[in-house]
Amino acid sequence: MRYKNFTLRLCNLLLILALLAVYQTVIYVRAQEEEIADLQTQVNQLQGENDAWQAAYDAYIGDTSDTDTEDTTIVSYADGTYSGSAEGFGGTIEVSVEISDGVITSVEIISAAGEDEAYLSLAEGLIDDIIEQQTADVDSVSGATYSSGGIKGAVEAALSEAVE
Amino acid sequence: MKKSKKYKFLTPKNIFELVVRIFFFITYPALFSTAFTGIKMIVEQIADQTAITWNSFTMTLVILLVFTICFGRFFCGFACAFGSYGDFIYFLSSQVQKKRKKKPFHVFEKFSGFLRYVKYIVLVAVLFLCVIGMSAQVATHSPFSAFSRLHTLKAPESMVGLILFILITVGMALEPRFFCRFLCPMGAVFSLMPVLPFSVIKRDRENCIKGCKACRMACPASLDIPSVEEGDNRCSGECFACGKCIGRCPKENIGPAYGKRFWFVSQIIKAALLILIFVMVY
Repeated sequence: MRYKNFTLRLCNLLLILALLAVYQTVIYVRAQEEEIADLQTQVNQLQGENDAWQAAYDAYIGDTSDTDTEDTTIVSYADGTYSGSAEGFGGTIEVSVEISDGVITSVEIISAAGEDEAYLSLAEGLIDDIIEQQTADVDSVSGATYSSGGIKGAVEAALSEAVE
Repeated sequence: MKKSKKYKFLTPKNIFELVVRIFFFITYPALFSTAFTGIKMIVEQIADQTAITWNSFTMTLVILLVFTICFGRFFCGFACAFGSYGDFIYFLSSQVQKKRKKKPFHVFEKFSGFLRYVKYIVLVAVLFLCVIGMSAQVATHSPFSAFSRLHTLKAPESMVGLILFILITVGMALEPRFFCRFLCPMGAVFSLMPVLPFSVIKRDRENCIKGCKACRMACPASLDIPSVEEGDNRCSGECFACGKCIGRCPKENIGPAYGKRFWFVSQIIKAALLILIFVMVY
């Protein structure tokens, strides 16, 4: 048969693509189910908390109690924009960190000339973690260790200038 | 007269090949490993039972696979930095052999029918290591990593990677396209792609000179070119679309379905298209 190899390979490729599509659908449906279950437990939990608060409030009426202050060991940062740099994969990564009200609000990559675009964009996922956790000490993105290390190092350098 | 002989290699085809290769070597040296990381990620995500994500790695993978299906392994032949490095090493070793008045090395030629399948073993082995959660170690000790560290003029971090890289370099000097044909896991994936029959190079076998092996000798992968009747053969996926056979055939018997006259033009279009795609996405 003419083009036997082409036909065979095409069938195999389509089969693999179909399997991947089925897999993706199964995972998607499963994730949705899990999310629904999660939300349900959250609703139940909030309901329970609400009841507890209600009871506490009822007991509190006419009574006074001391307010407890939370102990925080979070390092405070002075407001401003700071820049820092560190060694990435193929050169220096420079970032600027913006702090307002003592909170890291944004991290931007100013220059990363030596980085491979694909790896850098993967490592940029760290920035959300850094802002969320308010520290440069977050887990590196696997597969982009050098670029991750560069971003973390650069943010750390910037933050060290910001410490009050 | 002497001058014309000295610059004989400066044909439009050679200049084109050199320019394209140097452009990709400098601008996109990591495409092959980026695409392969895409495959590793998909396999890892399936092993973790998480959704397959769309990122720059999987995008590079899809672009290169679709391009290969449409035009054959032009990427391997002209754009892959590791392939260009290998061809450069072989060019150097051939020049040395020439100085010694000997033929260029073809050490593994006899075993190429078998060695061709080793790259599938490499592919399965590497993906297996990723499934059992050793992908970080694979990435650290891979000769690709050693190559990209050296490309940025830094010392490789892993001794294993460096030693593998040196061994591969020695292989590259002893056989044309040693790594691409026998070991490259990304090449294994490419060679399984259904290249459109339109783009497969074929020959008019009935017109061949009896016993002539000029095309096979010119081919860096030592392939038997399929006849027009066959359309393609088992080895069509191994063709790098370099077109060396087309120029070598004494009877001008070889070409793609759209005719050998348009081959060089089509090569320029392929290169322009590939460059355009990557300039747009990166």
